[in-house]
Amino acid sequence: MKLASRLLRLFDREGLAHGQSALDAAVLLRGHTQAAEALESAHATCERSATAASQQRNALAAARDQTAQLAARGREARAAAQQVREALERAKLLALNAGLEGARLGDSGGRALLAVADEMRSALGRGLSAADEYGALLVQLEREREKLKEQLEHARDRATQLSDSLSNTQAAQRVASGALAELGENLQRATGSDPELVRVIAEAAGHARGLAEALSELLSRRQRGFVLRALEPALRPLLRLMRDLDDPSADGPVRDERP
Amino acid sequence: MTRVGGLLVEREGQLGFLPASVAQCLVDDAVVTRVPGTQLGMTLVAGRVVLVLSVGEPAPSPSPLLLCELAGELVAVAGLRVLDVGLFEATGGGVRVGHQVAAALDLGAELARLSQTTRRYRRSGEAS
Repeated sequence: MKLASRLLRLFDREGLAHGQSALDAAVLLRGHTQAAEALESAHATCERSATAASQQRNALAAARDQTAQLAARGREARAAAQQVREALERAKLLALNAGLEGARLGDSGGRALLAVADEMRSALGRGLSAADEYGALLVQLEREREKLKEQLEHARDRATQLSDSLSNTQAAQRVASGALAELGENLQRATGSDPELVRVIAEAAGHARGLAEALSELLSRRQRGFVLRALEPALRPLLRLMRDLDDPSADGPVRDERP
Repeated sequence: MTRVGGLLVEREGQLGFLPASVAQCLVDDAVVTRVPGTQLGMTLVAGRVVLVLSVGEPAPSPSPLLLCELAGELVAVAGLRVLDVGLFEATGGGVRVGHQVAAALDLGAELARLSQTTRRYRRSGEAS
C-alpha cells in the first residue's frame, strides 16, 4: 500500500492533464511513425510489383516475337507440304500413265504393269490424303497461333496498364510520403516532443497499462499481503525510477538500480 | 467376257469410258491458249502444238490434259476427271463398272461438230 500511495502522490504532483496531453502526443507521433513505416513498406512493395510488371511486359513482348517467328516457320512448313503434294500428284499422274500403257497392252502383256500402277496409285492416294491432313493441321495451327498472338497482345496491354498504374501509385505514394513527413515535423513542433522520447514514452505507457491490468486482476484475489510482498522486489526499483524521473535537478541518464 | 483397256472418266457428273487406243497419256502443267473465234484452244506438248478440246465444265484448279488420238491427230482434251485406269468388261457401247455402265465417249464426233461450227463461223465472217 505504501508503494501505491507514493506512486499516486507522484502523479498528483505532475498533474493529470499534463500527463494526458504528453501521452496523446506520444500516441499521435507513434501513429505517425507507424503510418510512415506502412507507407514505406507499401512503396517498396509497389516498386517490386512495378519491376515484376515490367519484366512480365518484356516477357510477353518476347513471346509475341516468338509467335511471329512461328508464323514464318508455319509458312515454310505449308510451302513444303504443298511441294510434297505437288510431287505426289505428279507421281500419281505417272502411275496413271503407266496404267494406261498397261491397259493398252491388254490382258496378255499389260497385267503386271497395271498391277504395279494400281499399287502405286493406291499408295500415292494415301500419301495425298496424309499430305492434305498435314496441310489442314498446319492451317489449324496457324489459326491457333493467331489466337495466341492476340491473347499475348491483350496480356501485354494489360501488363502495360498495370505498370502504368503502379507508376502512378508510386508517384502518389511519394506525394503522400512528403505530406506525412511535413505532418510529422508540424506535429513535433506542435507537441514540442522528441519523437524518440515520445516513442519510449508510448512503449512505457503500454507496459504500465499491462502492469495495471495485472495488478487489478490480483486485487480480486485473497492474500493481498502475500501478493504485495511477492511483488515488492520487482516494484521497488520501479518506484525508485519513478522518483528519479520526478527529480527535476537530475536531467540526465538515470542510474540503473535494478537488483 | 471381253475385256477392254482404257480410262474411266467423269464428265459433268456422268461416267464415261475412253479406250486405251484413243487415250494416249495424261499431261500436266500445260498452258492452254484459246483460239479466238472458236471453242478450241492450243497447247504445246513435247514440242508439238496440239489442239485442245474442252468438254464438260472447266476444272476449278489446273487439271491435267488427256492427250488423245482422234482420226490420226493428237488432240488434248480438257474437262475430264480420271477416275480409274485398267481393263474393264465390255458391254454394248461402253464398259461395265460394278452395277453401272460407262458409255464410250465419242470425242471424234465432238471435235468434228466443233470444227464444223468453226468453219460456219469463218464463212459467215468472210461473207460479211
